[in-house]
Amino acid sequence: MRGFLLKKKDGTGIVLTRDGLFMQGVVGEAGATGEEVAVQPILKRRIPPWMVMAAVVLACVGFGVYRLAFPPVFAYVALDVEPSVELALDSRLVVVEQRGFNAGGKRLLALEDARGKPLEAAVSGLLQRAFSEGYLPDGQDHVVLVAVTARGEEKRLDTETLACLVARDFPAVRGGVEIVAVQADWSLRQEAVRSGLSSGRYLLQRELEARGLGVVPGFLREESLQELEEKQGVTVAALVGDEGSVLVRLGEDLSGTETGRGLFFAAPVPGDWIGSGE
Amino acid sequence: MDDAALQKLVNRARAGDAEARNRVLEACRGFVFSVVGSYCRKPLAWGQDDELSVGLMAFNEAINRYEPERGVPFLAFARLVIKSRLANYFRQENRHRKVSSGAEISEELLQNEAAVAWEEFLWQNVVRDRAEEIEEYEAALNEFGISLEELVALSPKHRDSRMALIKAARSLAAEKKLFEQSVAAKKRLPVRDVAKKTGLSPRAVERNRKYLLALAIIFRYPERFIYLNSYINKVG
Repeated sequence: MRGFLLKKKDGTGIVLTRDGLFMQGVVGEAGATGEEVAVQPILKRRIPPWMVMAAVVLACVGFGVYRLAFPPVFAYVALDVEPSVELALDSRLVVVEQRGFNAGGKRLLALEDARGKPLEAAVSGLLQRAFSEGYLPDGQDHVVLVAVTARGEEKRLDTETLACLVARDFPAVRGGVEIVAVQADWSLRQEAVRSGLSSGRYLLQRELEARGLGVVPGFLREESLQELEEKQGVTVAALVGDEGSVLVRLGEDLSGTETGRGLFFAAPVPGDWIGSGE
Repeated sequence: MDDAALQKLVNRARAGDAEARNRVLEACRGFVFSVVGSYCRKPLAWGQDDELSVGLMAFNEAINRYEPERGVPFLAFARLVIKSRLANYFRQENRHRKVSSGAEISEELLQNEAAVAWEEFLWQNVVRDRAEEIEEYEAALNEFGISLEELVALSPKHRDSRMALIKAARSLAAEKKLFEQSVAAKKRLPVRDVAKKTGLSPRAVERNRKYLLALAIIFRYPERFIYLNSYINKVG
């Protein structure tokens, strides 16, 4: 192809062909600007192998640096009282991400940022903050649901260990406390996130539906688990079945006498346990 | 008058056809005026300014000296001769004021001896002249925010599309009022007006805005972009 040479640099040039095509290509050394010259389209240069290797190494290093800066999530721990929150943990069980599923959860995380803290410190901080913000009123019974989704075996993420962790850090309020900890697999967690619920509350929704006990999604998301139990007439422990771990602390009696405050008893979860207080 | 018709007349004029020569001179008075005006950079008027007479004589001289086989468009060669003669004219004007008549004679002799060399020098100047024209074209494009590299990417790949756009660019360039008032002055392309005048759809005008402008500039100012105009004028 021939064209009127408009620009020339390093063996290539821009030409205008007679039929109006502005084209870039390889031009001869002899051609001067303004002359009609032959032009060859620029062929895509073959990338030298060393450059490919360098790119691969660079990509690997980059990925490594990225992983250092943003480690992959090893486990998720969802914590539900009235606020509903989820903590994403790396393999050291340090919180790398956090999420609030309802208004209370978002507010709680805004007040108590858990990111960068070890799981134990994060749970403790959130429970203390929930108490100080009035989410765990004194003199009432409370239900705490902990759902854990982990990639591998980790003793610190056993349901029993988690239930004990919550029990240890639960504020010293008057009233009974029931802590239910369950395992949730990854697919369940994904479905829960898609529904805008924590894994624990999503599990409850599924179990309620299975028992023909419909619940308004907004109510399930926003209200405390204690209220949910009262409204549905079924305990959280009964709903999650025998796969979870349950710790129960008895509350004060009416005369104000402490009945084992600070002392939790492990209780079995009866599979057919329907109705609270039964 | 298009390139081919002008070339024919020039050939006839070179062969001694006086009528053809007169027609070329008449047809190209505007060209001579434009070249002399841009060289002198001052307002000129026929019959009042000697520079225009010098330019017209130089144009006539260009008809005699033109060699089609060199592959240079006639108007480009004529522009070179005019500029060269104007340069001589201004040089002589300055010297007339400074030197005696004896010196003028020896200068004239020297000039006669150098006439042949001058002609060759003139042809060699074509290279520089072309380069200057392209620089001027690139500068004109830059005024519209267009670069040559962009045009490489924006040129339609299909020949039929380019032919249609070349035709449209010619129509746009022929619309003197529209081009000077909207395009040249405001540095923008009034899409609807251009679509109406060129017969293209507004979408096609908008999509090929820079390409259309790049070509219309060449066609609108043929006396400035002689080489480009001559090159692309041979199609479409």
